[in-house]
Amino acid sequence: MEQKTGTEPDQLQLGSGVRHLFMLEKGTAFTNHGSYGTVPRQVMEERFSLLRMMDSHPDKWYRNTLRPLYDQAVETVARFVGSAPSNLVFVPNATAAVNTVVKNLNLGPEDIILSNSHTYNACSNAIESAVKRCGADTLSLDITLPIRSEEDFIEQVVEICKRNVGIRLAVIDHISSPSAIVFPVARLAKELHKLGVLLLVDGAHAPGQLPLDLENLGADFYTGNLHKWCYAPRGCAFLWVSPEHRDSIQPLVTSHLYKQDMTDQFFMQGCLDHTPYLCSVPALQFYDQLGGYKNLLKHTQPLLDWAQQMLCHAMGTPVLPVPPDMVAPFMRVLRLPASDKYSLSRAEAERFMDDLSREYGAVAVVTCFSGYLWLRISANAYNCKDDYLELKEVLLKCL
Amino acid sequence: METLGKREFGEEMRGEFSLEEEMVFLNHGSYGAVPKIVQTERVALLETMDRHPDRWFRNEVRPLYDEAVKELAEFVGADPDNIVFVTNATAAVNTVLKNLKLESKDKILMTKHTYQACAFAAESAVKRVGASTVVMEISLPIESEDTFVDQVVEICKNNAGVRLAMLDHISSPSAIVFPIGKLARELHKLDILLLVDGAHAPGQLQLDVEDLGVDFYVGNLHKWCYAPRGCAFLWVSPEHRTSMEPLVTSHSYKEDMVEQFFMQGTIDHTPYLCVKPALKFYKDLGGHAALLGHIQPLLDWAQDMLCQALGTTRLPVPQSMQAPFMRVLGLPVSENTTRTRESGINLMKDLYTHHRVVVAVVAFSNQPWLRISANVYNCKEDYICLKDTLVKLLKKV
Repeated sequence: MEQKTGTEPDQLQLGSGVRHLFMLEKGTAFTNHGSYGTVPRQVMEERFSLLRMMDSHPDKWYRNTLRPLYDQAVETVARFVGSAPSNLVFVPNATAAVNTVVKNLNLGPEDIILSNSHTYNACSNAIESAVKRCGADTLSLDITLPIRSEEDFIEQVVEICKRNVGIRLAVIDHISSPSAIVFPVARLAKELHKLGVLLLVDGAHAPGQLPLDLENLGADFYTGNLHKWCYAPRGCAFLWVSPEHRDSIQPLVTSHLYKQDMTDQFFMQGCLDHTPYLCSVPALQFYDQLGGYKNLLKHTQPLLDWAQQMLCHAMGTPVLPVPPDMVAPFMRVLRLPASDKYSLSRAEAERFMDDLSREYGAVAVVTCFSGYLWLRISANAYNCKDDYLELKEVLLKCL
Repeated sequence: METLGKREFGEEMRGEFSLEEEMVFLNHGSYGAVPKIVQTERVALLETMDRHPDRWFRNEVRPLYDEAVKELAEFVGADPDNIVFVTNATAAVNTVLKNLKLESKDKILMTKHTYQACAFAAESAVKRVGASTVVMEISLPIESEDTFVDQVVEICKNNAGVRLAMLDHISSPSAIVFPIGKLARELHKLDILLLVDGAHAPGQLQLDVEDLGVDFYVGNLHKWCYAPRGCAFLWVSPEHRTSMEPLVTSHSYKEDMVEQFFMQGTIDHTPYLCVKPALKFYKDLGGHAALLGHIQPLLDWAQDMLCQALGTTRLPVPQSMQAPFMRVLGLPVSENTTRTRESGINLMKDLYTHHRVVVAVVAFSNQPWLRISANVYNCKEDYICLKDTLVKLLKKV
C-alpha cells in the first residue's frame, strides 16, 4: 500500500483518500460497514492467489499446504484477540459459533438459557432450537431504555439469575447488533460465575472495534466475526473456548478427526474453501497498515460524533440513551421520527431499510425496539462527512 | 475425438484447467478440478459481492442461488423444492443423521467401505441417545447386484431396530456402484429409511433422484461436476421435509426447508452459484456420453495395463458395479504398501512429492489398492507414467 514518505501507519490520513484501497463501487455512500464489512483489494488479491494455488494442485493443497497456513492464521488471530492459539478455532460466522456452543451443552428439562431483547435474531433462534431438543427453556431479559450505567445492567442480569435458579448459560452480546451497545462482559462474567452461570459472549461486532484480551476476559465461550471490522473475506469468524470446556465442544459437523483434539476437529470439516480463514492474515496486516485501532478511532470518533449530531438535528430526534462508555466506537444509533409511512415492527424496519437501499441506494440499518424505529450508522476508514450528508438527504426524502 | 471448442479430450484439455504442469493427475475423484472458465466466473462473483455487500446479500445473491438450484435440480433429476445446497457431502450426511429422532433401541446400518467421516458422523449421532451402529462387511468378490441386496436384507433381518441405512451410491475407497434403486425398495419393505451418500455420483452417473425411491440423497458437485469447493447438495424426500433442519439455525428458523438452508448467516455462496458455469462446461464437453466415450476405453486399457505390470488383479465386482470414471486394482503388498490406510497416504504423498504423479492409494479387505481416476484431461501417457513409477518404487523392496 502506498503511503506518504515518512508517514508512520498511525499517522495515515483516513477518509476518502483511502477509499481506493477498497473494492466499493463509486457513487454510493456506504454507511453500514457493521453488517457485512468490506474487503480491501489487497486482501482480495491474496485470496485469489490462494485459490489459484488450490486449483493448481488440489491434493497437495488439502494434504500438505493447507494445515500450516491454517495454523498460522489461528496464531495471527489469537495474537490479535489476546487468546492462546489452542483455545481458538475458525468457524464461518458468529451464528455458527453460537449454534455450536448451545447445541453442545448438556441441558435438561430444569435448565434455562438466558438471552435478552437485543440478542441477534439468528442467535435467539439457535437457542430456541437447542432447548427444544432437550426440553430445556429460554428466558429473555427485557432491555429497557434508558440504560443508566453498566452497574445498572449488571444488576438486572444478576437479579434475573437469582430469581431463576435454572439459568445455566447466559448469552450476551459484547456489542449488540440492533442497538450497538457495548456490554460490560468482563464484569458480567465475574458475577455470573458467582451464581454458577456460564457466559457465552456474542462478540460478532467486537474484533477490530474493541481491543480484546480473551484469556483474561473471563468468559466461558466467545465468538467474533473477522469479516465485519477486520477486513477478512466472508465467512470468517472464530470461536474461543475456555480450556475447562474444551473436551465438551465438538463441531456440528463430525468429520475425519472425530474424538481428537478440539482444534483438529474444527479444522477438519471435509472438503471446503478455507481461504476466508487464511485471509485473516493479510486482513489483519491491512488493519495494521491503516494505523490499527488508534488511527481508526481517531478518524471515526469525531466523524460519528458530528454525523450523529447532524442527523439528529435534521430529524429532530435523540440518540440512543446509553452512557458514553457503552456506545460502540464505530457505530451509532439514533432514533427515527414517527412517520405514517412506517409503523413499529421488525418487518416495517426491514421495509424501511429496503426502501432506503433500493430506491435511494443508501445503506444503513433500521431496527425496531423499545417502541421506536432506530437508525444504526457505521463508520470506517473510507468514510467522510459527505457520506452522512448524502444519508441525511435520503432519509428526509424517505420519511 | 470429442472436443470442447477447439480442444480435444486428452492432453490438450489440460489447457482448460490450471493444473500444475509436469504433474500427472490421476486422482480427480478426491478433490475434482475447477476449469479456468469457472474460476474466472467465481472471481467475477466475488468482485460483485464486494462492490456493494449490502446489495449482494439483500438483493443479488438469492435470485442467483435459486437459479443455481434450478440448474442443479434439472441436472440430477430432482424437484428444485426438494434440494438444498450444503458445503459438502459430509455436512449433508451429518445433517440427516442428526435430525433423526433416534431412540436407544435404534440402529444405523453402514458398511466397511462407508466414508470414514460419515461413519464418525453416525457414531456421533447415535452416541447422544445411546443408539448403535451396525457395520456390514463388504466381502469380495461381489457376485452380483442382487447378491449384495440380499446381504443387506439379511443383515437388517438379523439386527432388529435398524432405522436407517446409510449406503454409498459409489463407495470412496473401492469405487463400487451400489444398486440404490433396488436397495430402496427392499429397505422400505422392512420399514427402513435409506440415506444415500452419492458424494461421487453427480457427473459420474446419470441421476434421476426423484425416481430413485430413497429418503435422502447427498452429492458433491466439486468432484465430478467442475464446481469450486465446497459445493454439494442434499435432496430430501417430501415426506421428510418438515423434520429436516440445517445444523446451523439462523434467521429463517421454522420457515420452509429451502429458506432455512439458504439462510446460514453471512457466508460465501459463490461455490454454489458457480454450479451454473460448471454444468455449462460439463454440457459443452458433450455431457456424460462424451465423457464416457473418452474415459471408459482409457480406464479399461489403463486398468489392464497396470494389473499386468504390477502382477495384480482388478477389484472383483461385476462390470455394472464398476464406477465409470474410477477403477480400483490391487497393489502388491510391500514395504511401502502395507495393509494400512496410513501407509497408503504416505505412498500417495511420496508419489506426488517426489515422482510427479497424483493417485489414490487405499486399503480395505486387509490389503492395499490403487484407485485411479480419469477425466477429460487424461491420456494414456499419464497411466504409463504411473506404471513406470510404481514398478520402480515397489521394486525397491
